[in-house]
Amino acid sequence: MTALPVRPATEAGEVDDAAVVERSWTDADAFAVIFDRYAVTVYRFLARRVGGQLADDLTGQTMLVAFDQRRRFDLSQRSALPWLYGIATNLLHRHTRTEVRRHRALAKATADTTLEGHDELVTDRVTAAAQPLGRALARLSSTERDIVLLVAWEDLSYEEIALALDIPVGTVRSRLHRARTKLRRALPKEDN
Amino acid sequence: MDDLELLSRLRPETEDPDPLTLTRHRIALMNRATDPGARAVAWRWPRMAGGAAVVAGITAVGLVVGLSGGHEVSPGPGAVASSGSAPPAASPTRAAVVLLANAADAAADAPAGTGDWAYTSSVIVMNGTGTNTLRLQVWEKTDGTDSLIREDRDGKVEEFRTGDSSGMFPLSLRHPTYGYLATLPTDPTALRDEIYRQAQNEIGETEPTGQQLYTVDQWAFLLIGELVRRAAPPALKAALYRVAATIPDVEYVDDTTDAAGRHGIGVAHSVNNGGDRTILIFDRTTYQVMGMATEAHDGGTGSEAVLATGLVENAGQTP
Repeated sequence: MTALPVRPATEAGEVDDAAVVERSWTDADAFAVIFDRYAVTVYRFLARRVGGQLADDLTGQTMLVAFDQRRRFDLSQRSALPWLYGIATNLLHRHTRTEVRRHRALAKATADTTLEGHDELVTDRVTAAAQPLGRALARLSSTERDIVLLVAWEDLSYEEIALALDIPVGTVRSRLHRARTKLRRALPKEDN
Repeated sequence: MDDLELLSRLRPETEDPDPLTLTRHRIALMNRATDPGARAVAWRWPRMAGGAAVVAGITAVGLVVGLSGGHEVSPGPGAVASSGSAPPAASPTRAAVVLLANAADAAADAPAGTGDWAYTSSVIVMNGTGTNTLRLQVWEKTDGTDSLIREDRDGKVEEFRTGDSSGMFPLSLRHPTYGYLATLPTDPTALRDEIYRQAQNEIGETEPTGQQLYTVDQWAFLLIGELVRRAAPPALKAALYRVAATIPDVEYVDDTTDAAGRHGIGVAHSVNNGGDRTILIFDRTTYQVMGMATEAHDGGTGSEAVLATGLVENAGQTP
């Protein structure tokens, strides 16, 4: 991003996201700080779900939607990341078919990757679980899949997921429980 | 290993995003920040502040850069008149210098007001894909620790309190507070040095393309245009006009219209090498600043009329 004005790192690092977003209400440029902080994270999230090519486009869209909706950001939240996850998740819903295809292919993907640092037993179990889990993931409802993957792949807390998806924490828990029940049923016996 | 653990181990590896793609997205975002159609407060638009204008310049410049500076600008729809009519003095530059000297005298005599809140009331009209009108009142604490913003879009009024965002940007001519402006030299030579120093630095920050996009004179003119339209100490405003009079190629405009529909006279200067031009508009008899209008290379215009500026005792109070 060399063609763009550089904000000194300290300048951006000192303030929390809420202050930046609020600042962007009057100084739209300030939103660049949010972009610089999270565009890569948002991209990786999207790439895991629908692949790099689509993630390229969706990352840009996520940031534009966020910019347009910056007035709706809850300023009591210090981090803008859950909010961005929520926007990105909504955009993903237009590409459910692509995502589901990818999950079905999860088994193949893992077979190509060596799981370094794990003993053979772990590697075997992960490999064995890949196909059934991928299939089960593909069969979940969109919200169940969103929740379970925000937990498993993005390490979000229940509270953060509740914020991202704009649903009560209780609903996060109950849907996660339901989703996990479905996933467990799909697994080979020893993992239950 | 439970289902969640297994699932996390199955997390697909991802490559880092392509830096070029990210840059494109960032440019799109910053363009949106200046897009009149966006549901954005563009209260300082047209302006140069930060990435937005710079980036708009980059996209604009793609086709025009490298061409000579003599880019002909046609008058925008209704907002800005051309400088075609005969100026009263010998040359357009000479007439502009005279006008700026008069504006400096008028600014020096204008009352500053009293209080801790710097007030600016303005009307912003943007003609891009459609026409948007925004009436804006801003009260900013002179130390930058709080602001109240009242927006009126066709009768839909919204109010925001921003709280303290004073640590967000280091104080500069681009991100000033009234308090900061009060510390600047009011000697035109010293002030000019400071303006050109900051302008040069900011262009430097937009490397590698900054120097292609802007001249330091253009940047200085924009900075001054921004500052004289906000609440600022009268002596500083007077000095700002005296500095503007030293900028090469300022041009007198005999008749132009501000965003509130008022006729006035103006001083014009190109604001980038992409063919955009800005006119600072003044009242024909009092030489008070009335606003600023920008003509974009693509025929879009933006203009902002300043209705009132000054210090007041409380947020929400008008001078």
